[in-house]
Amino acid sequence: MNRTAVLAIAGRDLRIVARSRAVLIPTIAVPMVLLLTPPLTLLAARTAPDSLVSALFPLLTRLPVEMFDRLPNEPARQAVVLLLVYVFAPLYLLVPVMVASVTAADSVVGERERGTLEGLLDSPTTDRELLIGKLLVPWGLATVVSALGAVAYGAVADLVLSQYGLPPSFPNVEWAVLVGWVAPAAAAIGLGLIVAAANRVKTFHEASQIIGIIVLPIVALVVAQAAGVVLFDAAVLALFGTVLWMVALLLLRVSARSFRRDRLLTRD
Amino acid sequence: MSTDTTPAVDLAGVTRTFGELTAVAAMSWSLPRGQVLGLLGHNGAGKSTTLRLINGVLTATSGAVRVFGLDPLTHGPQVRRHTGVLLSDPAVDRRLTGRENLRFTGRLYGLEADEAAARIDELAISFHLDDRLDEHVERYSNGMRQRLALARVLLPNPSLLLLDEPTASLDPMAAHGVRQLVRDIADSRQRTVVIATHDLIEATELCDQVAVLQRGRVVAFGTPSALASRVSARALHLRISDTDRGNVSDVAVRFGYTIEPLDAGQVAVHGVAYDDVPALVRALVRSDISVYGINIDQPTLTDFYLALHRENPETSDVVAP
Repeated sequence: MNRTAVLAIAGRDLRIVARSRAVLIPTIAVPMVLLLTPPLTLLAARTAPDSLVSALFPLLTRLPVEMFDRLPNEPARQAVVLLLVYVFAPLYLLVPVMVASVTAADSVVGERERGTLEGLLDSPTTDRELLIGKLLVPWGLATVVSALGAVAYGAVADLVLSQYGLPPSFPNVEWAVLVGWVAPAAAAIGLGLIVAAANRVKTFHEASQIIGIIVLPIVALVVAQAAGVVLFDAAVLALFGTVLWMVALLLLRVSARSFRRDRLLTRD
Repeated sequence: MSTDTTPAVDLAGVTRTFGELTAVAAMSWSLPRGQVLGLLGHNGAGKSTTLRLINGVLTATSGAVRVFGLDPLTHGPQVRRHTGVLLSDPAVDRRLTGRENLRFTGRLYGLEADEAAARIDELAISFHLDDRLDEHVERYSNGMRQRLALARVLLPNPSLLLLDEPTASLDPMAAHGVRQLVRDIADSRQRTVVIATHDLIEATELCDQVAVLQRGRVVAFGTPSALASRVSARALHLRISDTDRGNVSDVAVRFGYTIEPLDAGQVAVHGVAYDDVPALVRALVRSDISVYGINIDQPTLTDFYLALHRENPETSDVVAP
């Protein structure tokens, strides 16, 4: 493995991402808005509406006793804690998926669109080194931005909780598993999809629309948890993350087979 | 890597297809080190595909490609470490500065930072980029971008240069500058060069050998002068009295040739077979035509190329991906 070449590709891609508004805005601004809007709305509302409280009743009934005991007594407060710690958690996965997909789309498909990919294909690197170099920045950036997003989310969430006279809930075990284990796996799935699509799409915008495939399942997870179908406690999250990693690695392994110079250039 | 007698490039029966389209068909030729080979042909003739096959960016459907004795398919990185590719659209990133583009190339090719920095400064001066090297490439003109791309190609000091219509997207002045740089490289004889070009004059001036491609096949291969000498028909320029034009036309028609009136007192007789020249001159003199001067045009690579394509006209310009 030519690490110097891999790091050179990654370093250049990072520099390019940092200078591209078309990539930076969907990479950082959009996920942050998506992530922070729900807690900020709660913060602005000052009280949890009754409809919200009743909507979360099914989830409340599924909580293990030890978790239920940790919740405050008053229903509105219970709803706020449930929302901030559990219900919004799957929504957080949009951040790694979006960051990874958009930057990977720019790095692979965007590079071809800008006419600079062939210069890279002509370099003394293997297809594998090229792939790793190209995915390092999207994955690393997704992981870092997700972690920063979680910190920001936690800070706003604790502010909301204090508004309800509750003690801070962040950081907590559930979110630690989410940030450290599940989010990197979700990012890897985003990368796998982009690599798989690289030979089938022409433009960066076409490629970045791939995230639409993942958004729906994530929204479904939010609904499922709010409806009490599934509860993402730390153990379930760890298992969920493991499944995501397995899917991601399989996806990357399969899609890497099509990441060949010959195919990238001809898309045949 | 191999001995000095190993050809720089050796193609044996190389074919590359894209679905139904055969971009390169059973191509075979060998290029000794230090020589310049021109690939000539219309769009879609297979020039770019050939360059990509040599560099291992495309794989051959059948046949064998060897570069300095190595198979680009199995030794791609080793082959590409010794090649430099210049495309018609310069493959430099516009969001980086010129220096950043060059540094990146240096790292890709494993150059030490100090060595790369020194080479970058040297190339920047040679290519008149030194005062703009820290500006974003976005602000460069097309000619500057192509000069930067050429500097990028030369930075790792490649033994084999693959140039794909390097002046195609440039205005005449910028094209002249890049052509001069390529000419200097060719003249130095330190590198082997394969250049795909539409410019037949450029090919005549630069190339030791040329391969004319039609629909992926090599239809002619040789030195520019050897190929030009295959053209039997040439133009005969006669300096005569204006009153004799009609008589010259009569004589030319008897031989099956046509004449073209030029400036006052001059006509050109076209398509004259070299062996017919003495008989034609004798016939003119016998017809009491006062011939003040005769000039026989030497056939050029352009004449050969045009004659070849008149014999085998291309029916379409289907371009490989």
